[in-house]
Amino acid sequence: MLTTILGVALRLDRDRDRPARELRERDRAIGRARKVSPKHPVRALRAWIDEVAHEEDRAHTQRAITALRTTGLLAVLLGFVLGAGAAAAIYSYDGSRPINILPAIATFVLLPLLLLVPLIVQLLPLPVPGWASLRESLAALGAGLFALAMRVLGQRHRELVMSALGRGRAHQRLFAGLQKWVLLSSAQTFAVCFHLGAILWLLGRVLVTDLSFTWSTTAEFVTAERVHALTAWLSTPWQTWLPQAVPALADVRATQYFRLGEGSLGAGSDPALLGRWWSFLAMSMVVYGLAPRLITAWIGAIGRARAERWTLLHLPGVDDVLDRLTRWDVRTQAEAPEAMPSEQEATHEARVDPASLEGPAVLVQWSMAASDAADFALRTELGLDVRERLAAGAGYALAHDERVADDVARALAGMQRGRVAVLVKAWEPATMEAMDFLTALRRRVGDAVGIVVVALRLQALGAHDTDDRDVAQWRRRCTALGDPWLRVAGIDPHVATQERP
Amino acid sequence: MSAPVFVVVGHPNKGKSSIVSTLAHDDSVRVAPDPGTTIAARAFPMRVDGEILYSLVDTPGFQRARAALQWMQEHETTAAEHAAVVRAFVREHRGGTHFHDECELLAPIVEGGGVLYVVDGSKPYGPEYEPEMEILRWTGRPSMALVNPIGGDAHVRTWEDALSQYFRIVRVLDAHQAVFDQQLDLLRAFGQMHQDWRAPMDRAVGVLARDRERRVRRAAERIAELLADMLTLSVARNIGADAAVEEHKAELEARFQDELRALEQKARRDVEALYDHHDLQRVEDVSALRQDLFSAEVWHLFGRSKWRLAVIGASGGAITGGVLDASIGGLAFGVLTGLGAAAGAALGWQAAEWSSSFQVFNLPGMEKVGLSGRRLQCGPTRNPNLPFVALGRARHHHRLVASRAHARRDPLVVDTEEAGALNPLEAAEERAFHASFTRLRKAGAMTDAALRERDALADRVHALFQRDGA
Repeated sequence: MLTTILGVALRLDRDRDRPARELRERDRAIGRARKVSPKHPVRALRAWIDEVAHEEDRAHTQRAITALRTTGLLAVLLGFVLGAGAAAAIYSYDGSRPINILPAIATFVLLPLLLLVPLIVQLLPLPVPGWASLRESLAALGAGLFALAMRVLGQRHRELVMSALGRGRAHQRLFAGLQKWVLLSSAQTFAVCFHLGAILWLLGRVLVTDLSFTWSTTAEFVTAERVHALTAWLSTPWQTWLPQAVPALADVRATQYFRLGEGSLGAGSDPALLGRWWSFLAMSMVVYGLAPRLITAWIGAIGRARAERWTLLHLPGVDDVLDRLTRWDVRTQAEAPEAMPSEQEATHEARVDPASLEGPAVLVQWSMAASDAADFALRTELGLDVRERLAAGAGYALAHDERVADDVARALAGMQRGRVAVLVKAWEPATMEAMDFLTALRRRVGDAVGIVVVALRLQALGAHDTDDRDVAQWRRRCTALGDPWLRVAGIDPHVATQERP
Repeated sequence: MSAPVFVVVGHPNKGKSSIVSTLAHDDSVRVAPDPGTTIAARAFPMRVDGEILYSLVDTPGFQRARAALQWMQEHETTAAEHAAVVRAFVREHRGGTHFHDECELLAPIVEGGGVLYVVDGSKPYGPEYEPEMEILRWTGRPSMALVNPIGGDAHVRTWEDALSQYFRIVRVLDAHQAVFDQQLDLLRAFGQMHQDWRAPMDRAVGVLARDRERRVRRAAERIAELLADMLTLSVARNIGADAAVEEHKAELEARFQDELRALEQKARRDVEALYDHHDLQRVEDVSALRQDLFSAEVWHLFGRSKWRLAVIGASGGAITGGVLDASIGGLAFGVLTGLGAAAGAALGWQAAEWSSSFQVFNLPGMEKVGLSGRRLQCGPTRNPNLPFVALGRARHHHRLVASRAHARRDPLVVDTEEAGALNPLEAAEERAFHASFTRLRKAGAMTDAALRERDALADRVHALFQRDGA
């Protein structure tokens, strides 16, 4: 699972700046190909990382996991060695003096039981005042021990292990639980190995050599009765099915040892009794040392698995990955970029001297642009005196437009300084058809004759307020024709009529 | 059977791109008041896992409709050959410049697309539209007319009368105001254009509706995440053992508020992206949405009122005092109950205003190793109003974003009064949110309990969004 966590975290880092659409397309394809289901998110993420893991990340992940496993293996070996070493020291026997069982009970029974206390504190969130502080202190101690353990590793291994368990402060909160459980489960594995090492050493020694066990004390209150009470209490779990591993009071009395002089045993002693303690000691080590640690190792493994799953499913961005893997990839947007119009640079401003507009004019109503007040506005706003009125554009055939252009040229011939006014609807776009007509008109009337495109605002019809944007749009289109005698003006007959004296 | 294609055509600058932008949820489409903004046909396929259910095609407007129609009439033999003549027109002129726009818009139609003819209902009907409608009739393809009242509906009626002479189906849709359900209605109507298109369009509408539900849910989750982050946010700095705490409070509080604002801004961007608003402009100076998270106006607009908090506080205080009274056998004659109520009311009144929560941690012995001796922390806030303010603002922002058409290019503007009208939560909702916020505060960050509570909060926010009509 750690491999998946690390791989997913690294991949999410790489995907951070990639376009959302690309990620959705990629992940949905994986989701469909691998038939992932939202009901099995871990399986889905494993399938995903199989497909998308970067080679470099794969290698890094592998190294990190190997480092972590190596660390775990070292803990196992160290546990065995230390366990066997402790047993060798406690059960050291060269035949000169028997082994004192009391240090053995203290080391392999009482101490392990004592060491279970902080573990219970860590695992059980009891609502007792001060309990939380105690847990935090232990967590801090655990973190300190972890840091110390990391120091033992080389720089390279340290970095790899840290990368496997959480990458930097940004993810510290997320990985804290995982680190705790990895540390906890590793510690339990170590403890199991320690006890196994010690038990195996004892059993090995029992099998291949003769050992003598006694008990000694200087304290007066440690009497044979009390030692027997202790051993009887400790033997409770197995006394019914393994009575030979339960020392009797007589045996306890008989195996008390005094070192003075050559050394002597208690009343009723029999050297044969000295070897019988081993079964009690072995059972004590199994029941009070190994068994609790096997249980805590099992709890640690479960906790670690849960923490791994929790961490994996709560990595920032994992929700999005699962969503992309398991949900339809619905897209409605364009796939190709939009073509941009080329900028039409005006060669000059399309205008003529306003004064030159004054005088007689021929009016062409384009596409039935008309208003009762238009004539008044043309005269008052532009100084045009409309002498002849023609119509072209929509509603007529193209050939008619040609004839109108000819008619305009003929009408101008009879005027002095005559102008052409083309009345258009400002709210309708300046289509190429209108531009074609203006071009044809210029050809017919020749250069230097002023043509003014008069854009009739919609407001003239009393319906809507059409803003200057429409007129400006006509001006831009006409400017692109490159006609220096072409002008565009907007008129508002409605306003002009209101202002009429 | 190939997926239906709907070719959006019409006069230049009549809102074709707006319609496409709204229906395709694509805010990258250039929508400009100038004609000629669209110069080439552009497809917007609706894909589900790669499979195309339908396509919209945005096209340039007719530029030389009369000339094109004249060409077709000159090549006409019988009415049965009209479609073939249009195809011949496209074949003849494609690649040239004179009828470039006509070929761009007619090509996808003659290749099998349906016609969506778009007009502006705010502008009067005129004879310049008739040649292009005639050309579209000649194509013989299934068609629908769409009146898009860009600047008002003054001429919609006239348009409907005129269009019904050329098109069997005439619909009205304001591309700038159309909410999601209206968009789905229109897409469903596309299916009525041709019997073979009904099933794929019904399926597409179903998929879009479910996809929308997913987005609403994701938005609710994002808001829940924001609220949880705000409730557990804290900033801290080390200060010297002898430093005056008050001197550092203002700076730390400013940092705390900055981080809260940053969290909110990030969540807003995420919610906008969820609804495919990638280029949404937000101006942060006028409307309620743009109000600062800590302005008094917004605080009282979205949060619970001073009086309400005072009453809640008084109730709590009275209960506590009552218990104490009862425990001493009524010897205080109800004085403790009264005192409790008064103290609770005062606390509630005070809680309605913005206040930070500061804590100082002593770090004994740190000076000896050259480190500061105390740590000053601002937050997590204990103010009961903050999550309600943040929720109100997020809900308001969500409502605006979820209902915003993609054709709109104006900045997001929020009406203060409208925002206020959204504010009230039902009593049961408010209690549930309050309980949820309390549990989130207690759970802290990134714990199983916090994440479970966040999911529960997302459910509540989701229900709220559904009530808002998202």
